[in-house]
Amino acid sequence: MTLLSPEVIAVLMLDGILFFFASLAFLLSLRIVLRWDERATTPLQYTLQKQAYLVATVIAFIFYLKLPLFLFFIYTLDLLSNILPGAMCAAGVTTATVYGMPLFGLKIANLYLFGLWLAAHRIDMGYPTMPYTRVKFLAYLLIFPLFVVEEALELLHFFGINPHVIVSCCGTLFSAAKSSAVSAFVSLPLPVTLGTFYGLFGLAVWAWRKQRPLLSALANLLFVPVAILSLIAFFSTYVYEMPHHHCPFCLLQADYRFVGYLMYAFLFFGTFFGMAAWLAKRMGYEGWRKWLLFSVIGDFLYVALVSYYPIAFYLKNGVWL
Amino acid sequence: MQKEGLNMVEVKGVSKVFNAGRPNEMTALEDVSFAVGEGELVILKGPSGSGKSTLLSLIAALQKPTRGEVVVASEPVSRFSEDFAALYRRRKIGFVFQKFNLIPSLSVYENIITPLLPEKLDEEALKERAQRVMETFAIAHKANEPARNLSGGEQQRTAIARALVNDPPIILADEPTANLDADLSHAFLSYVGQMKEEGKTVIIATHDPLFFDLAITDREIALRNGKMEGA
Amino acid sequence: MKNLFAFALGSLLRRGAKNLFIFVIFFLMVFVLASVFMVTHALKKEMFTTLSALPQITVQRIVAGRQTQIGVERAERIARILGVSQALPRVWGFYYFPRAGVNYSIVGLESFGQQYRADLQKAADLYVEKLAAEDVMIVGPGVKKSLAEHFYPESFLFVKPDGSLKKVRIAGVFKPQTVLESNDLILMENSLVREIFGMDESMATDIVVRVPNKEEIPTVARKIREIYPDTRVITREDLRISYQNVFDYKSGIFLALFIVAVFTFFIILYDKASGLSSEEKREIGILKALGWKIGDIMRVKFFEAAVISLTAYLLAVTAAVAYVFMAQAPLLKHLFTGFSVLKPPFALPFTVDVGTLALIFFVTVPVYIAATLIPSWKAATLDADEVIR
Ligand SMILES: Nc1ncnc2c1ncn2[C@@H]1O[C@H](COP(=O)(O)OP(=O)(O)OP(=O)(O)O)[C@@H](O)[C@H]1O
Ligand SMILES: [Mg+2]
Repeated sequence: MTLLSPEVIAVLMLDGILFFFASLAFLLSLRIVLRWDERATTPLQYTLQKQAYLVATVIAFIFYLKLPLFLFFIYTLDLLSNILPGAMCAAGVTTATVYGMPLFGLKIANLYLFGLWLAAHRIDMGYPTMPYTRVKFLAYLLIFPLFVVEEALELLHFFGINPHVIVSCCGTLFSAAKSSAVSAFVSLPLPVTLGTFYGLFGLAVWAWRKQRPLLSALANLLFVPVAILSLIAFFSTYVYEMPHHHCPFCLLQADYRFVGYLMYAFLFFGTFFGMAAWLAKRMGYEGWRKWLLFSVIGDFLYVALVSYYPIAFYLKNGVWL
Repeated sequence: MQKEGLNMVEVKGVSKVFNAGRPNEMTALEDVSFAVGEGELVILKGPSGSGKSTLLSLIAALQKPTRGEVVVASEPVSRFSEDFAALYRRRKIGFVFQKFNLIPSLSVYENIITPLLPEKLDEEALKERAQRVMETFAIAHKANEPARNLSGGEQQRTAIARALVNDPPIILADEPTANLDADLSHAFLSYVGQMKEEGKTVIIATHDPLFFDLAITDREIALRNGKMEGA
Repeated sequence: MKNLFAFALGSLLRRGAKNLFIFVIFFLMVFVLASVFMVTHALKKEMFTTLSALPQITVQRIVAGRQTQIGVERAERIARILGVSQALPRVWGFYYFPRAGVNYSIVGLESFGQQYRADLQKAADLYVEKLAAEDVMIVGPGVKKSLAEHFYPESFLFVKPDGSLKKVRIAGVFKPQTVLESNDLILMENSLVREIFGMDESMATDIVVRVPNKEEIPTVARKIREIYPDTRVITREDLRISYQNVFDYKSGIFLALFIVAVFTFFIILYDKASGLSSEEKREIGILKALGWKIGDIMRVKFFEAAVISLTAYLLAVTAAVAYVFMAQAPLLKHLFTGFSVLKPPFALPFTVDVGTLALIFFVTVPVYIAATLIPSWKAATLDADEVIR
């Protein structure tokens, strides 16, 4: 039996709508890429220009719907954890099928890609002749398949969940004992983990001081997985104040005052602008310095917030977990 | 006569073909070239269907030429994207339309501020700018009257006020007196004098003889069947 | 941006009639959806409160696929399983009272013995002397009321299986954990229950098992099944999941139907939004000629859609809260009491959670905005030149 909860139905329905729009944008983009001629004054070119607006609007709609929908998606998984034996939070539901983890990764990656696309579009619109039109729509043609894969994984995941099979809870999933990529990181010596984490942050700050957007983009790109893994391996245990509770999802629950939402918002904001600044510079947009600044601010807020927990714990108890 | 200094509007070998390649193909403009200097007043005349409105809309970047180029203040406006064309119209052009084209359900004040709404202006600035043009064109007393209740002359003054509210360097007017009686037409003429004094570049498309051979006119361009006469 | 927003508001008001129509329909749809979800959510909450009062493990004997009586000696054997702290035989059953047309649940208490539920324990402690001494019962307030309505204010005559009558006095009223139970629960001494149902001394209805360590419940359940293959062993967790599934399934089916309705509405909406009047077209042409970007016009259109859908959403949700929790959902509640075997009347406990509100939001507002997307684009890319010539 598949899970026919109203939340799942809602997510699937919105996926359907998003898929419709994304496909529409894909078809129009294809035509734009093939037929766009900046200098032409033909009716075709005129139509394409108008359709370019539709594509951009549709992509903006997808992005701005995907952002809150991502949170709703996690919430839905959290709810499903009530039905799945063994699951305590979204983590267990995510691993209920083999598609869960790749789905999650792809969802995050797609958020960045759609966001970057919109940033590029904004910059392009700042030029009288929109010189990047063709590149932009070509880029969308490449993003679209990823989006389709995401949707497919989501369907496979929801229909693949078997409510009678016992799944693992976050406690065992992310423990050092288990043999997965995540667990491998969790079992790394702490100095290595934290060194990488703070090192990358330092690199991002340095890239800002020296105004090096490429470096910033690379540092931020790496910072995303490293931040999440070190959150699982180290910082989350201090939020829960339990040495063996490694989980990136429980943070989002009311018990911890929803602090996870704030953390992930900072992290997304910081890393997103870190990458966008490089893109902006490549496209000759002067605002990249501002974006670079946004990036350091976001990164800093994230680092400050997650660092607060172990430090506060140490000051209060005089020991580390 | 051509004034010294910067060319404000340059029309370079412009042609406009509608429905190209179809049976109803129509060449509205053919190889039109001229330049208008800053602060000049140019009258664009010609019989109905000669392409006057088409030419104005090309200058305003409402349409793109099939061939040729329109350059305004050294910028190739005919190659602008839609958004840049809009921005250019908003900042550089004041357009007085053939039928005034007010929005009937909006008040005089609301009509006048519409070109400013996409800009980042606060309520105060909007009021101040609107007040200035409403007073200049003697329509301030009707500020809150819906446009549909206005008389022809009031509509005309509202339309002119709206064209000037963003203080554009170029004014385009398409048959501004077509629907007006003699008195109002003369009134319009005096407004044109006012604009010229303020240093605006003015192009008026008309077949109203009232505008022919005026002392303040710098140049008259005659169109016939889409071609410039005497060219 | 602020100015464009004000312009959008103004334009909504200027085209009041058209927008009012859309607003009202959208409001009604959100209202129906919100009411249904709030009712089910409240019922679910009530259900889970009931559930939390259930024993961790219930053991029933099954013969020929039906539940039947179970020997009390089995409780002793089960109590010896590792991890079990207590195993109690229960004596209980349903008693049909034709005149009121209701089923009462008669639950037996072991006087001076331990009860498996805190609230029952309290009632038993309170009336322990009376329960042991004479033929009395303790009833829920709802039961008391319905008996009084049928002229049994003090005592009741039960009909035993052999047709003879048994008079039982009402010794007191107790308040169970949930409202649902207050309407049907009757407590008596175990032997009295056995007499009324004609059961043997050595038999019980089922056996409830307490396991202090939650982790061990599945293991204990498995062991019981091994020792007594003719039993059905139900854990509270199993029940919770199957209840949850039933709820999800029912509201899921409802939502699926609802989505069909939503889409019909949005096709109408799409149609209405696409069909611009010549006056609207002219207005857009004028705005573009005056230097509005395509994006400016789309923004205004978006603001219009957002204002309509968000205000309708907020108003409809507020109205639904009033309808469900203040007015107790007339009509709708009865439609959904099929969720349980329990009878009305009972009050819906007040529960509004962010998740439900988010769910209602996601199936309505983004869909509305999506439906206006293409029409707005069409409107915004009209040729200014053609419209205002
Ligand atoms: N969008 C269009 N499609 C097809 N033909 C057009 C279009 N716009 C203009 N034309 C044609 O181009 C010619 C020139 O039109 P235009 O409106 O420029 O003339 P005009 O000089 O302004 O005339 P009037 O004095 O009557 O306003 C006309 O024959 C007209 O029918
Ligand atoms: Mg004309």
